[in-house]
Amino acid sequence: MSSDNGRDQKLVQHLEGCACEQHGSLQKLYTITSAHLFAVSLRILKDREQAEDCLQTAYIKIWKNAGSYNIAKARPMTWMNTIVRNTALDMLRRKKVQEVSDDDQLAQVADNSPSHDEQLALSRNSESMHRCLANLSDQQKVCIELAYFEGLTHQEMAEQLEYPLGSVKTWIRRGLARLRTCLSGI
Amino acid sequence: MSEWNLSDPVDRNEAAVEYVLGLLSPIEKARFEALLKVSHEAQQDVCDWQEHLNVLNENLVPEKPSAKVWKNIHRELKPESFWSNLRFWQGASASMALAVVLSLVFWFKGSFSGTGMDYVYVVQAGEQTEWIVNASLNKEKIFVEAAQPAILPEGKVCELWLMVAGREPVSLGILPKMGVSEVPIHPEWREALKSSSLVITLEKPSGAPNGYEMGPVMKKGQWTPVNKPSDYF
Repeated sequence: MSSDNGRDQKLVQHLEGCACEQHGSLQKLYTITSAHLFAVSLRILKDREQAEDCLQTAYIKIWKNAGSYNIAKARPMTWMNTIVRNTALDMLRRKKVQEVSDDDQLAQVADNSPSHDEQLALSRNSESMHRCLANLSDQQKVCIELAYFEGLTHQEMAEQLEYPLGSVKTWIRRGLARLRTCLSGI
Repeated sequence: MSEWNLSDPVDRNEAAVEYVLGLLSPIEKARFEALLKVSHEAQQDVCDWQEHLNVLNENLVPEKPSAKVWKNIHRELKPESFWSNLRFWQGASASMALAVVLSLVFWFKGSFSGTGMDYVYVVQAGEQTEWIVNASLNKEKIFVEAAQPAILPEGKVCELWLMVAGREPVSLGILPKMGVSEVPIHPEWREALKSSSLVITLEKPSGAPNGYEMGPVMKKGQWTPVNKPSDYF
């Protein structure tokens, strides 16, 4: 936990450095985070070259917007992952890439725990979310991942999964309700 | 979502997660974004769900991008691009530089009458003179005068260094935004001064911690001997 705390603290320091236009901070941030952010970009775009273009664009956005990062609202990796995801989904929509997911198997990676008291609650939520996701049915999980990583609408999901639209909507609604109930009960 | 009452915390939270997942229709999205602009609670719901769903990202296996990504980022954001944009360090031709130096000798006499400047280094941006550095061996001082300094990025300054062979670079201080700054010529490097090159680096306001940890080099130059004013007047 302490090393994870230290990692988040370092990331925040590097983001603060970026906000002060310290290029060394961006390089350190890139060294620590690029493999994780690239995984997000690659998962969404499924094309190495496009994913690298996305990563490049995302780091430039991170550099330019580092001053607006608010530690009280999000952990640093969440904030950066959101930038990468939004950038990748924008590219996906623009290029109309509609490949079927390879359904990559989820793998365990080191958890990022917060470094500040303000973020302890966020960390607990993260751990809780792991447990709550495990409670979802496969269909519910697949639909949520398709929305999150593929940017698919209900209709597009129904077409891709070859299930009725009503079923897909029900899975998502019930899956999210289950997550909410699970998270609020912890 | 049209059935949702966004003033109800449960409905608002339901809308927030669908917003984060990108599942809202354009009309629903516009309605929720209108709420986001004014509702701290809705903003907090979105933040909470972004944090919850980030677990999906954390579960991905890290993948190293190719080296060209960082090279491209560095190329696009490196400080030199700022200077290039301002055409800050685009030097004039050698003849133009010499003409400027010679003309400045006359100017020196007015500014530092009777000081007997020995060496000068003029920092230029095209035809614009930014700073003038004068080393007076008679006065045992280096004078750094701001002429028309460039506008620097916020929180950044330029630091001047004397690159004395065989020892740690000597800081000649932060280039002033206005007026003249003075640096005493130390006996240890006095004799080496005229043969030492000059370097300007980009630093944070406190300057580099030492001569071995200086920031990015913005400019390199050499002293131009101007002999004595009596040679010209």
